[in-house]
Parts: sequence; structure tokens; C-alpha cells
Amino acid sequence: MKRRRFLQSAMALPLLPAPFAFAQRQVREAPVLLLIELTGGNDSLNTVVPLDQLDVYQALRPRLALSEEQRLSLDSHFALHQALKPLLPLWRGGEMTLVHGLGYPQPNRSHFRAIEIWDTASSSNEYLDQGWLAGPARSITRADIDAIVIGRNTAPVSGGGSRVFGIDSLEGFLMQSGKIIGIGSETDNAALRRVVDAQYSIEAGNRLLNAVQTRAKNAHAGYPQGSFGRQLADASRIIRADLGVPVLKLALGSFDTHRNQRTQHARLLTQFAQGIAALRSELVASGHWRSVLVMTYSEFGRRAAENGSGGTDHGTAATHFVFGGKIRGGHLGRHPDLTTLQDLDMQYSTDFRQLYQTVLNDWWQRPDLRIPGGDWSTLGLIS
Amino acid sequence: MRVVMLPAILSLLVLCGWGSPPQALALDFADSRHLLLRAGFGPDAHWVAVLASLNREQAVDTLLKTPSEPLSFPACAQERGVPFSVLREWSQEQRSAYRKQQRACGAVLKGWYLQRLVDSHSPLHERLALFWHNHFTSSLRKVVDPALMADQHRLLFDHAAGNFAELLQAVIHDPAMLRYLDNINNRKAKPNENLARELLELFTLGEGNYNESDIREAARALTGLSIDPATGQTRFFPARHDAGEKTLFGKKGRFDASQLLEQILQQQAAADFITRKLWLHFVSEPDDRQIRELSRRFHEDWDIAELVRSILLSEPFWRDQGRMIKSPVALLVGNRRLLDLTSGNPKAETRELRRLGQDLFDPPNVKGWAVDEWIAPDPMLVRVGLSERLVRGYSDEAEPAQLDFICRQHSPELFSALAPLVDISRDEDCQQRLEKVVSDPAWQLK
Repeated sequence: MKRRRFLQSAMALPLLPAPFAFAQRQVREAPVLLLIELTGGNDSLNTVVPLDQLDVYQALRPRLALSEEQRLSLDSHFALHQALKPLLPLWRGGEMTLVHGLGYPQPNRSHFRAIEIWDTASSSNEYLDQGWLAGPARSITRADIDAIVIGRNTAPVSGGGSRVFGIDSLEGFLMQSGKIIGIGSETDNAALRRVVDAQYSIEAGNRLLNAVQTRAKNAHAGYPQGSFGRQLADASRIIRADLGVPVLKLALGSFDTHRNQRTQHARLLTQFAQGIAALRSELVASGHWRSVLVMTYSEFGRRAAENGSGGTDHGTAATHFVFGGKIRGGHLGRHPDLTTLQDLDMQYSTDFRQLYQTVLNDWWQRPDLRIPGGDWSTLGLIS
Repeated sequence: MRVVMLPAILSLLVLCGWGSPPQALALDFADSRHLLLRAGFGPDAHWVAVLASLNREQAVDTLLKTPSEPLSFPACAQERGVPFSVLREWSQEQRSAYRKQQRACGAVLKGWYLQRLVDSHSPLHERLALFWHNHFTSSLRKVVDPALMADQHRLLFDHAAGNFAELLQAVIHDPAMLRYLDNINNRKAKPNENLARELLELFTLGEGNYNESDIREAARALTGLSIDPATGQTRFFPARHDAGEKTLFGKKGRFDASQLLEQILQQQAAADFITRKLWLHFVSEPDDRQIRELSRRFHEDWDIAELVRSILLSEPFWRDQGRMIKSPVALLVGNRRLLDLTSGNPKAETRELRRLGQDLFDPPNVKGWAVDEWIAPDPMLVRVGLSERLVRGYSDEAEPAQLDFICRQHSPELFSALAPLVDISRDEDCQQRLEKVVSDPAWQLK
């Protein structure tokens, strides 16, 4: 009973108290990281094709290799999967960076373990207790939560007492929060009540998401159909609401294309590109694009050679994307040499933890926040 | 007209099961799931099949009677610990190195236990052993020697569904326990009340059913029961024992340790205490009348299996679906058994269990794991995360027979004790349903 009344009265508030308004401009300029997990292990070799190694590429993938018509050249060295066409304007505008050969020593090819490594920035043989962003988000946030995760997998931001809000979608949460709050207060199942309370952190979440409702309307058409498009639209609203939450995370998948990769991969990449392009235009219009950094990651890349089922198996190093209004654009790192594979897999050239440290040092200007495992030198990502 | 209709109506009702005791009816899927969640670690393909054609009584009996695999501890925990009399002679470095080795063995032991639970053919027996493990607590941290903890576990395991009086006698004479609760320092000249106090407060009677004098006298009875420094095994030292007359629960006698335990077991309160604790292990709320009834019988024969059987066949148990929270072990082991992911990473998973507040062989204190702290915003993230990680890529990599079981014969949400709170739309594929189901609050319940 108590909570339902709380929610209702919160929604009745039309105006924000005055001190909030002052903070808003500063909050708008507070840099946000939007992390996009490509779940299942994206085949980056067919996402960003190394044109210098075309012969080897085609020999490794007689069926799956992208033909010239299926590629879009970025320059003389690399081409994109044609489904990524909506990203070309970002490339040309210097708002897209490709980081090649991202990986780490002794790579793990199990979904379960590999994603843990990327989420906690651990070494291959160590186990860490918190996500790489848990501490930083807590330190940087100007809100009373540290991170918002839309969709699955809160691991990069959870642990060490970090306050994470996880939802499936804004609309879903706001629609269901009534039901969930109702369950929470009315059920006589004490165990269920405790679990719901703990899992939804209802009060903080409600405060925040109500602020989103009042401050940022759903504006842009142009997001692709489907769950990822909705997640991006929600992320955009959260960003435009200037909540001061420094980390948002979404997930797109599954990229675990062991079979019949062609269709599935194209479908996902289309959603990805359309989504990013729509997000960009909405955030440019609102003035937020320069304070947003979008970064993809995945548990691993995939095998250089195709398998016998029209797909690819788990691999190692991969190219990932970074987008934003304040990045240098272009290429970073070195694409693996397809003629010097190790155990049939591409060898990494840039440790992913360098990318992470770059985000801490150069995006948030916090070189005091350290990625575990070494003194990671940074990449020239931010302009 | 009415007279003719009545027998027909009655026949129809009998055919529908009305009038038959519920025990006689075959379990439906929900019942089967409930029983496996509470009396085991959750539904899995094997046990769902076994229970499918059984009624409640047959199901409970099958669970109780299925034999377990013999215990076979990891090699390092089978090695006798170096006796204290020898350790005393070693250098600091040697002792340090040895301790480090013992700690490493402790980690192996934890991983071994977890894997055993995943593989077990007799989940109810394992669950009972785990219950006693958290009742008669000792910890690797204090006991140090993994072989002693393994021995204690064997004892708890062997007696888990046996006779409580025998279990109690065995545990109080167990070297790990004597060390854990400092009875090795309990002697006539300088009594140490630790074991005596916890014995009465936590292991047998519960607060309010003894007084401080009983504790003092119990401590006297326990004097001299210690560990032989040469063998590391239990040994009674008559010289250290206070053989004088003691007054326990109003009765006088020259009680020694075994006789102390006999006196304790004479108290109805002991049966009440254990019965209630076992009841609340399986059912979310006490039923005072039933507990009293069960406790009266338990006091007569101390038959644990019989007590558990009665609890599992009680009406309150069957009405209790989804009203308790899965322990961290049950969550993890249950996931792996259901999904048939029998090989995991025991080292990482035991760490995860520690984070979640259920460190095997290492409860935080003699009260056992802090069950009240299992559900809070921080552990929730880990609990949900662990399940999500396990199902990652599942539909792509699981054995076809297993996928068939989860996705086609049944559907992911059916394995949840309660219907998921979040909507599972009809047209989502099995992998998506699975992901939503294991991330849902309902998945935390049993």
C-alpha cells in the first residue's frame, strides 16, 4: 500500500524543485558511456573485412566471405558489411572508430567464462569480484544510482555495492512497476516480496524513471523494430533526461552464429547500424552527442575459417566499434594477420583493457581509476 | 429422480479423485517440481521422469530410499594431517608452507562438494547432509585441517537420515568439532564453556530451555574430551576430566560427555527444537500443532528419515509452493542440474557462493550461514547474473535431448516455482524465454 501511493504522488509532480534546474546544464555535459554488448561473440571478420588480406579471407571462407557487392569500402584497407550502410555518415564525419585486434593473452572460448573476463577486466586465469565499471560508475555518478542496464547482463557494472538499475524496457518497467509494486505490497508471499524489493530497488528506480518521463519525450522515429531499437530509444530518453547516470548498457544478439550465419548476421548488423544512426541523430538534435561515447564489446570474435554448417565457431580477437561526437574517428590497433593464426584463431594486438583504461582516463578524465591487471597505456580515442 | 442421480454423481466424483486421499493421486508436474525444489535441488530430466507416475507417498519414499554414491574425498583431504606434536618441531617457513597447502586443499574440498551435489543421484540425502553441515557447524578456517573437515562431513553424511541420538553422540566426539568449539581447551582446572553453550543453544535445546547453570555443568561433563596430538583423533584425557557430581536439568549424576548427551535427549525440548528446525527447512511457516505431534514421535525414536517423511507428506508442505527462497547452493546446483551443465568451474563457483553468503565448509560463525542476508540488492545482482551466464548460448550448445526436455516437452517457465512476473510473450523463442525466466524474481523461489 505504501509504495503504490508513493509512485502515484511522484507522478503527480509536474515541476522540478529549483536547485535541480541549476544542476541540469552541468549534468548534460557529464560524459556518458553507452556500452553495447554483442552477445554470443560477434564475427568481426565479416563485419569489418580486411581488404589487404582478401585472398586469404576468401580462402578461409569460401561460402561466407562477403563478395564485393556485399561490402562497403571505408578506405583501401577495410570494408564494412553492407548492412552497416547507415554508419557511413558517421565514418565520414569522424564519429566512428574501429579498434582492431582487441583481445587478451590465453583467450578463453567458453561463453560463460569469456564474458566474465571482459566484464570484470580480469586476466584469463584470475577471477575478480566486480565489473570493471562498478567502482568508476559509483565514483563518477551524480545521481543516486550508478548505472542503468536495459536488458541482460549487469556484470560490467555490478559488484562492490554498486547501485545498478536493471530493466527490460522503460515502458515495460513503468507499466509493470505498478504490478510489481502491487505484488510487493499486497502479496502474502513474504519470500516473493523480499526478492522483488531486492531485485527492483523500486524506490530509486521509480524516482529516476519518473524523471525520464517528465523530462524527455519519445521523439524520434527511425529506430529499428525489435528489442534493440527499443532499448536504444530508451537509452536516448535516459540520456536526454540528464539524470547524471554515467553508464548505460544495452545488449544485442545473439551473434553466436554457428549455423547459417549469413541471414542472422545481416539481420543483426542492420538493426545495429540503423539503431546507432537513429541514436546519433536524436542526440545531435538534443545537444548530447558530444557527451556520449558508445562502445561495443563481445565475449570473443569468431574463427577465421568458416565451419561446415555455413557458420563460424568461437574465436578470439575481434574488431569493435566506438562512436561519439567527441572522438577522433578512424582506425586504432592492427588487424590480425590471417596467415599467422594461433590454434586456428586470430592473435590479438591490442589488449581490451587498454581500451577500458582509455575510457577512464580520457573520456571521464579520471586516470586515478585503474583497470586491474597492469599499467595499461591508453589509445588515441578521444579528440 | 434425485435418488437415482445420487450414486451416479458420487461415482463421477470418485472418478475425479474427490474422496481419495491426496496421497493416492499421481503427482502433477507442479507437485513434482515443488517436491524436487524443496527435497532436492530442483527439477531435472531424470527426476522429473522418475516422479511422473508416482503419487506423493511413493515419490517421497523414492527420494528417501535412493542410495547415494559412496563418499570419495579429493586425495589431499584424505591425507592425515601432520600431528601437532610434529608441527611444533617445524620451522616457521615450513609451517607456513604447510598451512598454505592446507588452504589450497580446502578450496579443492569446496569445489569437490559442489560438484558432488551437481552429480548426485540422491538429492534428498545430500540435502539432509547439507542441513546437518549447517546445523553442526565447524569451519575450515578454524579447524584448518581439511582431512578433519572431510571426516566430519562423512559422519554427518552417514547419519544424515539416520538416528539423531547417534548423530549427536558422533558429532560431539568428532575432532573437528572439538577443535572448532575449543573443547580441546576445556579441562577441569580451567573449563571452557564454548562447546557446552553452543551444544545447548544451537545444537539441541534452543534458548529458554536451559539456564546458565546447565551450561556450566555441561562444560564440566565435557572436560577431558580432546584430541590426541600424535594421531589427531579424539581422545579422552581422564586427568583433565571433572568427574565430580553435576546437576543437569535438575538431575544429579557424575555425567561424562555421552551421559550429558543422553540427559539432553531426555528433554522434550530437544525433540521440539530439532523438529521445528527441520520443519522450517522444508516449509516456510511453522504449524505448531503438527510440529508438536511430529516432535512427540521424534522424541520416541529419533528417526530422522521418518520425521522428514512426515514433513514432506504434510498438507502444509504441499500448499507451500513458491514461498521460500532458494539457497545460493540450490540456485547454482539447481541450474546446472536442470540444464544438464554438469561441468562447470568449481573454483570460480565456490567463490561465487562465498559472495552469495554460502561458503561450503566455512560458515561465518557457529550459527551457520547468514540466511537472512541471502536476499539484498547486491547479492541479487550476482544471483541473477550467475543464472544468466549459465544460459548464455544454451540453445546453441546444449545436447538436443536436453533442449527437447526444456523447450519442447516442457517450457522454461514451467520449471519456475511461481509464474514469472515479467510477461513471457507467446512468440519468443526458447532461448529468450529461458533468459527471461532465469532473470525473473520468481526464479529465486522454491
